Amino acid sequence: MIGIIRYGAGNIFSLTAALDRLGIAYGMIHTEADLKGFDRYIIPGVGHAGAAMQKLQSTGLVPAIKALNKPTLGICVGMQLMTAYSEEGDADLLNIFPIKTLKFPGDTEFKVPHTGWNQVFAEKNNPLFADIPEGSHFYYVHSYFIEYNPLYTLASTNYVNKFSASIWHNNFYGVQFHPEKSGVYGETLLKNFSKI
Amino acid sequence: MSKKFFLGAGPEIFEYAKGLRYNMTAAETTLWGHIKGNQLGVRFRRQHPLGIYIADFYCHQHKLVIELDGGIHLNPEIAAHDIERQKGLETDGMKVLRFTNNEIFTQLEKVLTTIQKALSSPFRGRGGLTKRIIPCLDVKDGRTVKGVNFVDLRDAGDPVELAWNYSQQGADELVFLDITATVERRKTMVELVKAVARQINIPFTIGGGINEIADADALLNAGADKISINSAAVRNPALINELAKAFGVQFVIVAVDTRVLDGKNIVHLNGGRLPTEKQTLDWILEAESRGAGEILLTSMDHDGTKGGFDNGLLKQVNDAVNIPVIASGGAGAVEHFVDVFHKTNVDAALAASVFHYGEILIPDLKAILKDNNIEVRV
Repeated sequence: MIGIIRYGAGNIFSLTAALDRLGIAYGMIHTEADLKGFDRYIIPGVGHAGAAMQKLQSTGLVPAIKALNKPTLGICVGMQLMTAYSEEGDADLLNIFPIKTLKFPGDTEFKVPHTGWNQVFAEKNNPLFADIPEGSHFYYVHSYFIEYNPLYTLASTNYVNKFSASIWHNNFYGVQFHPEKSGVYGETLLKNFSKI
Repeated sequence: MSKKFFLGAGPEIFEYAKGLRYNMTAAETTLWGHIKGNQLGVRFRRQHPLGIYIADFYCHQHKLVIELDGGIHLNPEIAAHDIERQKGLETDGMKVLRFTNNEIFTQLEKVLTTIQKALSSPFRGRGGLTKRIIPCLDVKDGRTVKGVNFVDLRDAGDPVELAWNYSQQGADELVFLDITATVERRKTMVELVKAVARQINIPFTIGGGINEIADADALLNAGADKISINSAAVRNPALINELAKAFGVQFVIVAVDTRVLDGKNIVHLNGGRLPTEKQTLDWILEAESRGAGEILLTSMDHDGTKGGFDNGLLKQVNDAVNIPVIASGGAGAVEHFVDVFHKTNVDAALAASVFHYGEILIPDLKAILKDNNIEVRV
């Protein structure tokens, strides 16, 4: 069963609706004691990364999250929180991945936020992307991205530059796009995560 | 198609190109390994015939030619020939990038960055990001109001079933415009949004009657991805700032209805019936600076005519802002969608009746857009 870590950043209705459609069981985590009942975790998140980090810190869950050894998936800002630092709010983050979250430059010909469906290319073999064809489209809406790093980037997308669509390190996973809004392949990814 | 695609190259050129593809140089093989298969978000071809030339690599979508020069090209006679050849291609509207084999072997990162820069200009929203097709549903008291003519719907008035149908057809996003005018409005909207979010696996926007933060908050928590505000923003522009601050710019679409009055595009309210003092482009720029994350621009002059989008205005607006623009008003045929993307480079196109009445089927539309080198999700 998936434990969704609640810390007050963004709504999770669409995520739980997707899990309901897929028949994947989940529960809510508000305190450290809640962590015990689950075999995997999702860290959701929408909005401002710096503000989200402050909210997460105020729950007191940070040391326990860093020590998790079961599969853990960060989505959007939830994934950005797992990096070392974000330019959004000049914030130090969980540092599970020693890489940075950066702002898309505003002076290019590319529009920001990066809004819509873009292609995702797996860079490594991992069950998270099982049954998802190379170059499938996923739904994005974000102004900050996680830098590309061959060690941690599990899948990449190209917008302004090549960035991390997904990251992976040990039991920790992250996706920048919104699987709960990304059609059938988004649902496949959530299903894959529930079986990792 | 083939004439433009190959600039009328003859059969002997094709034979020769085929031979070259089998005998790529080490530098060509290295670069090909980094650009093939859509890795840069666009498709490249290798040894592609163009008139009397063969481009080492060619991206038709961006009309970009990449040439690799080995030692032999440093010979002055051959270098002069290369310059002639480049001029010829540039006359045909091609952009030519030239690298030495040595650059491929020693500065590949820099080479790829240069290529990506060329791909990002002058086009916007590229790098694999698709153009979006958005059906729009009018809803009153929780029911779809405009006539809908899908054959296999059990209940054509049920917005959830209709939405599900569109998501299955390949719509990229949905917009619900709620025109309910009763005091129960917020409650029915929230119920609708929840029902949609439970069933639909693509993003959706809800608009109509959003006047304050509390309205938006209720819709966000019910699962809406974005809200669209129109009259409320015109009457109280600070609402845009408040919404962007509370929920992020990505949550806030500012919808603008425009109509030409005395030769000027003027913002209108009440479905185009009530002119305001605001000029359309000025208002859009103000909305962007206040925190709009996206603009939904409807030409009331074109709306309902089925004669095509207002490409002139859309291009002007799209060139002026740095946020996504959704074109609306006037779609009547597939060509109108091809035109609006080719001529204005907007990010998305919205339509209602052509989709509802089945005059245009989304899979057919996307196939044709793709044939016209417009990036779409299929």
